Amino acid sequence: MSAATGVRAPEEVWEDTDEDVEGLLDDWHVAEGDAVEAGQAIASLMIVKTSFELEAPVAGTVARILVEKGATFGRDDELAQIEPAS
Amino acid sequence: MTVATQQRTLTMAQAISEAIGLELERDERVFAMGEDIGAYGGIFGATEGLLARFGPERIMDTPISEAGFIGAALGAAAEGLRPIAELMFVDFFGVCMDQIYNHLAKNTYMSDGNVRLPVVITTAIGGGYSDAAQHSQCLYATFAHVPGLKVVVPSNAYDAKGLMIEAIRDDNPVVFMFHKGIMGLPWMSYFEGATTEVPEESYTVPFGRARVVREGGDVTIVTLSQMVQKAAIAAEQLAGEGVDVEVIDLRTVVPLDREAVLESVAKTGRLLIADEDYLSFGLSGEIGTLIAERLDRIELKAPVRRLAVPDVPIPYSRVLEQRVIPQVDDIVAAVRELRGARVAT
Amino acid sequence: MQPTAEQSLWMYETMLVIREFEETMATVYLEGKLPPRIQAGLAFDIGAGPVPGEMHLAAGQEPVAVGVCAHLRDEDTVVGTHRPHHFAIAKGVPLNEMTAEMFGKADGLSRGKGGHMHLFDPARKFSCSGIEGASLPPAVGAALAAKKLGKDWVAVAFFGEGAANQGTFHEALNMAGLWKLPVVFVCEDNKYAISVRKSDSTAVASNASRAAAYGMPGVDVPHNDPVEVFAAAGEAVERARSGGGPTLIEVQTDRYLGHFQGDGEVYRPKSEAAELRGKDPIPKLAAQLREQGALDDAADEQARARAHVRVTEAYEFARSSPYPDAEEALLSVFV
Repeated sequence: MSAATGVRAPEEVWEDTDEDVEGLLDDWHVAEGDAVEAGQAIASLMIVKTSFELEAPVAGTVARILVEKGATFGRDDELAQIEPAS
Repeated sequence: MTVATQQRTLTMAQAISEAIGLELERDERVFAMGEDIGAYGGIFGATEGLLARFGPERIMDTPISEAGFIGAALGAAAEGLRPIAELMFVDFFGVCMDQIYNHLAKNTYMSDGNVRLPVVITTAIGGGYSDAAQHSQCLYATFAHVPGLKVVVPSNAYDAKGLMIEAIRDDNPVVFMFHKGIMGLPWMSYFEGATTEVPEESYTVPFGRARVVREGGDVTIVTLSQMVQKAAIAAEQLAGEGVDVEVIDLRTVVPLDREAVLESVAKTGRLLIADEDYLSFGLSGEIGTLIAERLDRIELKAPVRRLAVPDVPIPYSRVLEQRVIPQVDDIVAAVRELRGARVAT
Repeated sequence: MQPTAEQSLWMYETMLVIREFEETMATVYLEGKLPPRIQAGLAFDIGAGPVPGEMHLAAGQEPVAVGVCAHLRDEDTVVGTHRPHHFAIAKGVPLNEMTAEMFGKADGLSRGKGGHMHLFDPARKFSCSGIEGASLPPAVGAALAAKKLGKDWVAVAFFGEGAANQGTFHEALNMAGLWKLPVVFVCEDNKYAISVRKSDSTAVASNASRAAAYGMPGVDVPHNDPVEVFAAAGEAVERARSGGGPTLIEVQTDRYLGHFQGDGEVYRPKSEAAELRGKDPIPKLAAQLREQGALDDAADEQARARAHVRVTEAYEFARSSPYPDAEEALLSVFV
């Protein structure tokens, strides 16, 4: 069994922000159980007032969504887990 | 096997852009013009996503030329198109009011109905986030006061979508005023009661039909826009004190649902008008007089009470702004006072 | 017209103050507005924090303010825009009281009633407005008054290239040209009116070219350079003071931060703002002054230290100032 890959917001979204600033998970484009391709946009994030698309780092299946729509997250938080395609 | 349709909730901003999108699809004569409505999606999200779907010919960014483009909307409407023109903040009406109140409002009348001007002016209203005197006003009374304009003021996403579709289909000029503090934007504190379930299909909400937000027998609150959400919260609090408040959401100022107001006040005998516009010479005075004129039908148990901005420009500093824009606590206090007040015998 | 060493050093130090003020505000503005301590479901709360509401910062646009205001006296009028801090600072508006006003405090210029877009300092004849294009007619009025009173005062209207499409621009210029008024119209072309580029809003490439339509000279200042602005403004101010009438100047300047703070700037590629910083006019002027022998390491350090102290003190003053009493909201509608 392969370990699930954690998905975090990319480094660039935190540019020019303080350490303790959190982002908003604006919307999920996928649900648990959905198949995704590498690079596919799976969620919309908002940090301060800038929107970013969260991309799946690997192809596979969305195993778990860890941060719900409308919730906030810190720079080290995992937003979801993807079970990589074998 | 039945499949339950998952109702989705939309913010008021999403509901408005969805409504505009549906009408853009349905009727090729519909188009929108305004500042930053294209790539930006409208400063308050009213046209979010529409440029990508419909292109720059139907979602047109304009120069900072309100008199120019609102007048142009009028001219295009006279030629059979159905423009939606966004006035970024209602406070900016000063630079283009002639086109609105002297032309858009009056050409139909002055032509004895021969000229139809199906224009919707969308505009952002309201304060509460320290945007100061030139960016925080409501002013629905100003537009309502001049005959010839319909004035629509939604308090929630469901109504906003239906009222917007109705507005676009109306052959008369409509001023559609959305309060920034209930749009559900991710960058401004808002009242969550305004984000509601919204059906995916097209539907209309009729003008001139107020909505009873909450039934009650003790006190009537007549209100609109963001103040509806504040009144609903106040009513919940008061229910805990054994006070049964009826909240009436006007939804449209022109046409005004006078009957709904009269019916409610006839039932409760106590009226609080909760208005975010300026106190004097405006909406709250209109509603109060409506009652005064029908004392043959209504027995008041207490004098009419009004909450509104006390005839001062909206100040910048938070402590000052919260003093002048009616808050939930102010509504609760006013209702309590009403319960203790008496009319002269 | 070249600035004297003294004028150049004034421009340099004033730009330092403006830049530090604006960049400090970019951070201070965000205080209290970001998760986690705001309403659930929001990425940003515009109404929260010690400096609530909108914020429009002029980092990058310093040359326009200093190049023009270097020629102005207290009795000359300046009417600014919704992005007013650099004009106010260059005009001599007291920084402490200006900052306190932006914090909504009782020691603010207007005891908290106006806020950052509505800064009024009658002693320095400075005012501004949040309405695009609203600066031009009052500047014309001030110039009209100067003429009627027989004074050699000058009025300056600052506005953006977006506002040049507003009716007030055309009306004000026509009247100024018609009545030969001592007013200088200064257009800051920072390329964007919120999200809309000039080429998508304006029928001509240069607003200076519109001056001919209104009977006055039009001057293009093609670089975001205080010395270039100084030269153009100097000529215009002299023309106005000596009864020669109005001038329209358009300066190509750069806006480093968003239209308003919290602006996601989806309309401008991220690399663009970074590129602009590569042309920063402040180090460029410093280099020029060093070449001319007007600035050395010690003087530069002292200038920076003075600027830093001024800005730091202003923010401290603002933070420690009390809020006004809520009932003050009902005062001063009429005098």
